[in-house]
Amino acid sequence: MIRRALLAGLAVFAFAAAPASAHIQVRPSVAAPGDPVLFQLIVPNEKDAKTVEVTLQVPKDVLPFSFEEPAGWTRTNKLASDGSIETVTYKGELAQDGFAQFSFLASTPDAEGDIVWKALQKYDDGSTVRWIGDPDSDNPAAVTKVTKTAPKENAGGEGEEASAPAASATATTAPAQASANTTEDDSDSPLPLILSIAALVLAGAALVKAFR
Amino acid sequence: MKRFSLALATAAAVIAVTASTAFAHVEFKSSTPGKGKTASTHITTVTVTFSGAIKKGTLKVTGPGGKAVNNGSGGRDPRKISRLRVPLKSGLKRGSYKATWSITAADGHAETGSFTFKLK
Repeated sequence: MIRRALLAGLAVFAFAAAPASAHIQVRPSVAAPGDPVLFQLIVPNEKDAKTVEVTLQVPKDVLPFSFEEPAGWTRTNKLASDGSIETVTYKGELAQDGFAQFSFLASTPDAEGDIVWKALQKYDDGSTVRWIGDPDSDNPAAVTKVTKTAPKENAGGEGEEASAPAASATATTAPAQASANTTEDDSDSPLPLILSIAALVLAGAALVKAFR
Repeated sequence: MKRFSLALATAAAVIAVTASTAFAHVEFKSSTPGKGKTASTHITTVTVTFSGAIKKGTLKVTGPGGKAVNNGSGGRDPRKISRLRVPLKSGLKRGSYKATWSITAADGHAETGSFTFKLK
């Protein structure tokens, strides 16, 4: 008897606790300073309405430089007066039991501290959930802790590991620089493109020949 | 012959895939004074604008005789995230100047370069 009551109580508790556990999240929760990191904004639908718009405020000293375009969603970047990205807005539609995941690459600040990701979630019933509160509030803003103890990701970028050889190459070629030149580890010369085209043509020709 | 052609096709395809890497980079776009251009000895700053956001950077300018004329080592322009800026000392002489910049882009890509201009 007691056992049955306990079970019922547990079931009620589990049911009641479930809806409150879903939050807008940003991963990872820890990141290294001055590092290009793959961030994921995870947006679960939490109402009897559909999420139609998500706006992420780009925190100070966070520099997004590449975005994944999720299917069915469109993205708009709003720029601040200095040309930096102020907010990123995604428009689309979530099922009531759906979630969306928006990925982007961004450089973390050079200083340690918390990145606070403020976000707005708009529903098709006209309501907006403002994820801007403290960590223990009802609608917390997601937080990524920037700490030197976190491993470097260097996601899609050329952070410290990758730029080290480039830096030494730059140093050795610097004295030989003529005016108005640019040193890069992998330059924007058209050579790779030309090589690619030539290789593709070759491949095509060879294939035709092979199957004749 | 057929096998050789197939091998060639495979090799070429591999090259095609591997050669076409890394295009998206922040690069030098423009500067004031423009590179190779002539400006007045009354200019007070040198700026370099890039094709995208930069994280940090330095900008140094030397004048006739290799004398440094930059005030401080420059940095990102607070008014534009894609621009480097350095104030210059006053009393600039006529002659050839060289600006040398280095930046780290948002993706961590480090780049350096230089250009010359004239003042009169």
